[in-house]
Amino acid sequence: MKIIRFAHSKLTQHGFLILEAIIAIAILSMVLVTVLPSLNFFLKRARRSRNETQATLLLQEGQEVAYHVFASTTNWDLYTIGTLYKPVLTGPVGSEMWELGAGEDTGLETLFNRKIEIKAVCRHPATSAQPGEILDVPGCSESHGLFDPTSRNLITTVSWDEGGTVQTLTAKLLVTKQLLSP
Amino acid sequence: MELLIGMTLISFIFLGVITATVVLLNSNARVKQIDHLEQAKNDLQLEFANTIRWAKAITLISPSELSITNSDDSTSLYQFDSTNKRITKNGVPITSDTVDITNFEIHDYSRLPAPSPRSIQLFIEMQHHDFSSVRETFRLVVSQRIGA
Repeated sequence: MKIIRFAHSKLTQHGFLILEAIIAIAILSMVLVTVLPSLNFFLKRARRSRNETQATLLLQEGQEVAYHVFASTTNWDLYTIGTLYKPVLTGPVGSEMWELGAGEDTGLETLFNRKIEIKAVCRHPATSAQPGEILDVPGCSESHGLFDPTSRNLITTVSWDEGGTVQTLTAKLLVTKQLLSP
Repeated sequence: MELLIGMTLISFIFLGVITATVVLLNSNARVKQIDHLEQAKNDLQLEFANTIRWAKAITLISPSELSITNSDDSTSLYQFDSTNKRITKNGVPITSDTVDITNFEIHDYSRLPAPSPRSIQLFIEMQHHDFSSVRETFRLVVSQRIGA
């Protein structure tokens, strides 16, 4: 009788040790299952924030170069309306200068794409209630009756792929020849 | 035998929890270091973007020295102090002592000769003063506005 009771007590004790470990693993697993997705979320958010900061710098660079090119060129017809451009450096080494080259930048910083689009500007006619104000018409082009040859919209777009989703940042800059011409 | 298995499992759990805690604490410290660099980057971006954009005149003295005549006719001289690894404005540091500036290059990519408006590109490399593995590099292009 004594032997049986001893064996039973020992058996119960062994089972208790394993049970403790299993419970601990279960609790740890539950904690991990709860924490890991939120950790992943924070990592994704940090990556997105870093990418957005970088994209903003590239966007600003595009806008600044486009502004400088238009501000230092009297013949705006060199840059076709509706065409995509990218900032390029031209000239001999040591005296390079900004220029807008046809096409789109791809793989900037291995991730980003950038394009600068030159858009026509149409304005309300002098006889209207809002003379000279920008008219937001989808078909605004050089052939449009209200086309303003002294203004352009410079639209810079930076896009990048983030985990299968394409993110985009866009900035629009209106340049007018009256202010820019020396 | 069961005792051994139990002890081993508990040791693994203990190690796992300790490692996770250390990783969390380290990443928190790293985030703070990265924040220092981000702050420096934002400050420099704001400083140069505003000053260059609205400058009356800009003179590139050397690839690491830039003189700007502001709209109120005051002058701002930006220099790279390579000894203290900081960027200075009129001799006063404008970057924090927690950030080391390791490279500061200025390029003038303007299309017309001065006094026409300038287009300046700044290339800045920085690292945390105490943790050199935390680094940041950025390029900033700012064009002077006409009639500023």
